[in-house]
Amino acid sequence: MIEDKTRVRRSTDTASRIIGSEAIILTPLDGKLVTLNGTGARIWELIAETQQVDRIADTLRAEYEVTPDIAAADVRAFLEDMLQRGMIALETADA
Amino acid sequence: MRLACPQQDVRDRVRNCYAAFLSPPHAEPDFRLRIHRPPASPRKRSGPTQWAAAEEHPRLRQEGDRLRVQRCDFDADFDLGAATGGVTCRRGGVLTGIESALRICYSVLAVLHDGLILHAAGIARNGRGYVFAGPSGAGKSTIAGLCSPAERVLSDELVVVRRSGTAFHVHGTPFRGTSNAPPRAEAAALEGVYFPVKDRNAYVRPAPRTAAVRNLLACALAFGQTADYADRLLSNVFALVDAVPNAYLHFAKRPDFWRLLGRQDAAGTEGKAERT
Repeated sequence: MIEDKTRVRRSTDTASRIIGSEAIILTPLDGKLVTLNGTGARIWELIAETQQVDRIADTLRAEYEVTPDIAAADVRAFLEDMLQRGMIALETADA
Repeated sequence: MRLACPQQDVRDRVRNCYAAFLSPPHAEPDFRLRIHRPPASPRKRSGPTQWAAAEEHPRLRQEGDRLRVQRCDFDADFDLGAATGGVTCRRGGVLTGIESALRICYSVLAVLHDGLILHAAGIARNGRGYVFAGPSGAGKSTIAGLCSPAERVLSDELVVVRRSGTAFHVHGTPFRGTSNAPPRAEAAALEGVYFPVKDRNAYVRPAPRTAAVRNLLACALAFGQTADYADRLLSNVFALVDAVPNAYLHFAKRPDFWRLLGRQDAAGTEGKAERT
């Protein structure tokens, strides 16, 4: 379960590139190719290093015209999806 | 690649199947592969029920340089660091198992050697190489079938595209599709990559850079299981996209599309890729 204080980072089992405003991500263990749009690519950039979820939402709120509630909900939903796909990893707060 | 087959009948069948791609006996191979077929045992022979239940896709597991592949008709174990491997054909047609293992082995080795294997037809024309990449039904074999004697079909199914120096070359492979053109052990300097689209008229539409990358990744035969392998694959694909024109080729079942191909078809103009 992704919550505001959850700390996330990219899974080390991925390889990716940013091209234009998109991100292209390979997950070699299942041979999948995922393309992220501009907002998803921005989150992917941010989680190159471990980030707290509410900090990611704050960054997006500052960069896009979006309310805090929507930014937080969208970021959590996006990260839940990435977690299901094995593309991100969670870190405990004291890690 | 040197194939070592202890059994004479297997050796003869492999030699016959890949006759056009055999190297001189004393050539130093980049990779050595042992092929083994256990003795036939009627009591252990698989029945139709087991065939029906057998998985179609290979199961892969990679740890470091060791890649293990299992499918209903073969087991393969590759040591990529030592450039050696072994294939044990378990049942069914021995050549089917060998060919599947070879495809997987080549797909991994190509990426490690600055290239990749693509589901594509490769054609040499006037000394220049053209790649027509796409999924089944896109038109690879149709294009290969339209070739005149002036064009040489390197393969209508799988080609190796590999960088040597600053240029990419397209290489034929022994893996063939549905056209009648036999694959050739030849290579040509790559002139362009085209994504075929069956249409009523022939024209070329430059592929945006992102689309070209996505299309090539979708056409790449890629069995490596590590993030490092995937990263190298991405690097090779981006290098290829930046090196030659990439375009959609709309074509009818006529060879008039050839006049459209060449470096005048500029690729997309999006920004450079960044490693993330």
